[in-house]
Amino acid sequence: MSPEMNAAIEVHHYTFRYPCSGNDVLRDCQFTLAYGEFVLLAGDSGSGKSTLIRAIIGSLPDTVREAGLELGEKTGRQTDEQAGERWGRILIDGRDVTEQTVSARARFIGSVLQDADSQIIHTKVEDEIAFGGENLGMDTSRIEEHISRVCALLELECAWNTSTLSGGQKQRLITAAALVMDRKILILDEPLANLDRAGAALLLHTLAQLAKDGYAVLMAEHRIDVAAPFANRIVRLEEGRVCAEEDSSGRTQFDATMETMSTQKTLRPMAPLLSARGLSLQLGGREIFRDVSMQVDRGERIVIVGENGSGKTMLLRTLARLQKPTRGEIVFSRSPQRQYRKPSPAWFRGVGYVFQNPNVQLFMPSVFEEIAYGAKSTDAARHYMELFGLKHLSERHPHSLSEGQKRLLTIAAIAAQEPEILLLDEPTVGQDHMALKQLMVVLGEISKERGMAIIMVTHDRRCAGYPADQIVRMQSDSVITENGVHSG
Amino acid sequence: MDRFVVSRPIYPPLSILFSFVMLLLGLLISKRESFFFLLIAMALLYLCFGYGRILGKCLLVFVPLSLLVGFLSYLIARQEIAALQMTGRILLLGLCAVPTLSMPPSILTRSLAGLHCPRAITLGMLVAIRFFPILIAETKQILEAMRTRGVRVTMNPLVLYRAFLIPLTMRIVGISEILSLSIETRGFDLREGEQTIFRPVHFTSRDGIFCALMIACIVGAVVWK
Repeated sequence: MSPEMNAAIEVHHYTFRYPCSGNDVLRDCQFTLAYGEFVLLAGDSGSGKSTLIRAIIGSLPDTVREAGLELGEKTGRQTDEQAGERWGRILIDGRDVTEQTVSARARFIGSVLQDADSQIIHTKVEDEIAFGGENLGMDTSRIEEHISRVCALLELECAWNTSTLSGGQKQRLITAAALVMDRKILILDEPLANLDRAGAALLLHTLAQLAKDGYAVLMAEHRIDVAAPFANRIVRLEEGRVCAEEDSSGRTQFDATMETMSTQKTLRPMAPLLSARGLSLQLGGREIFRDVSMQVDRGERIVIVGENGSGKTMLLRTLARLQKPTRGEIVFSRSPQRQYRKPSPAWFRGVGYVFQNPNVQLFMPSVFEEIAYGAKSTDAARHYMELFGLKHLSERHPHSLSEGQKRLLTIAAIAAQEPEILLLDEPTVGQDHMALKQLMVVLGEISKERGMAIIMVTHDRRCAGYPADQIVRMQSDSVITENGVHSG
Repeated sequence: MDRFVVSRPIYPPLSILFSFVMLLLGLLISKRESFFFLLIAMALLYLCFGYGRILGKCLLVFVPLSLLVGFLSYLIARQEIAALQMTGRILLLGLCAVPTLSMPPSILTRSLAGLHCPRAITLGMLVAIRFFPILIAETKQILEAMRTRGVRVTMNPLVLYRAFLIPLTMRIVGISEILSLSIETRGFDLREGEQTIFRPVHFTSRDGIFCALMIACIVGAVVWK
């Protein structure tokens, strides 16, 4: 930050510990965000990015009050089992907001949080976007003007029903809802998580432009490769500590995440496992996809790509028989079953499905027990736990993990059931660079060793180079199947 | 979420008043024959005002539930009339929920703001009507997730409890936290007077007709011999 730039957010020696936790999640964090700056908050899964963002917007659990000493000075610790503990201060626009509520801070900050789905309140896109402006007492003409602007910017239609939006469209909607409030400070927690390439570029261009116009933008993101070229600085968190700040100007678009994977594409299909013929799906009068046919062979790796709202998740759900198609049929060689029946337990022993939201598939008291639940043996569970790099978390409660770790755990738990086909819906969301790379290597190994077919829905450009045998490109009006490496 | 929403809802305060009055009146006259007249009249009123789809969905849940409760009541009291009355009371609950369930959140908040209703009440109602459809969707997804993990309903109740209730509880806690945070981060607070109404909601002649028919139902139920 240059000396002439005004500070929008100042974090002074901030330390935070959750209630009943032995470890500090944030440790003596110190950084400044100035107006006119676009700063990227980077770090591995569980490094404290979301906690820092929650500290700034004021949504951390009730904390023990500090003694009120000078800035940066560590204050005396009080004990209260029901409260978190913190030291240090946060200043927004020069004002100490440490004791202020979320809604009071919302007068200065526009924020976009994780889990877009749960944040949507209204049934119409227009109402959802207008909500923030109404609460802040903006003129109706100004709200209308802002709605038109952000809808055009983020390619949303005012009349759309929020329940029919795809994950990416929901993400764009909550971003639009934050932008319409026209706050000079914007904080975004993994806003690219569900966005396709075009959607991500659109949002990043917008944020970079806003920074040029004098806004302060702070964005936590795993996809540094995509975001770095647009940002002014990268602040890196490691185990809750701000460990490095770097200039992002020298960075280029990431293009080699999976370079080591390209040599692994050696397996040839052996025997057909699942075939889908003439699948079509209509929901609420809207055609999601039409006449999709595909064959999945043993050990085959298929990537389904497409823009937001193109029906990728619905196709995957249809292949798993969680969604009934309007037309067409699916035949799984190991479990021939009439189409109109609900899939039997035998079906799901052969076809493993990993949901986009990991929280619904986790229910055991520890990471190890979660994997062991469906595993053939305890040894097999240990093997999968090590394979997915979760050994150090074996005693942790699954719901205490970060979103990225939870996602990895659900993949490990379903893979440990050793299905013949593994269906993965956006498995890369919340994964940092190393975790993603390791995940792709592990999936490749499982596919190769066990002949497990893998079908993966993704829009993550970091998966470019993933050695797919088939790529299914879903577009608004057609579905194209190609052979070869996914090019992003 | 819009599975429960009607395109032309009745004026929200009138809907809430209707649900409240009908529930109270129904419970008071539930031992009279006119009680069943009231239930039929409510159903017809909903059909006339475009609530047929939501009514059907509610009845799908509440008819089996009311029959079950009625049957249990019969087993305990051994009185057909008492069982029938109990069935009717449960149906009444379902029918009274129809207008609130189908109210778009934006219409509710805007009409309450227009009436200068305290923000705390608006907030409570906003979260409540948004939460119910989310809960249904989450329950459905968790049941699907259980099947993918090989958990069957006929299995060990302990496993069933863990596989269903734990994810559901975690999701409910998580969603309610995120939902209220989402409302707060968008500037909704309990201070009065600052908010604007983007599209004001007004009482229309259609609402007047609904109100008149509601009064006719009440009078009919009370004077019925």
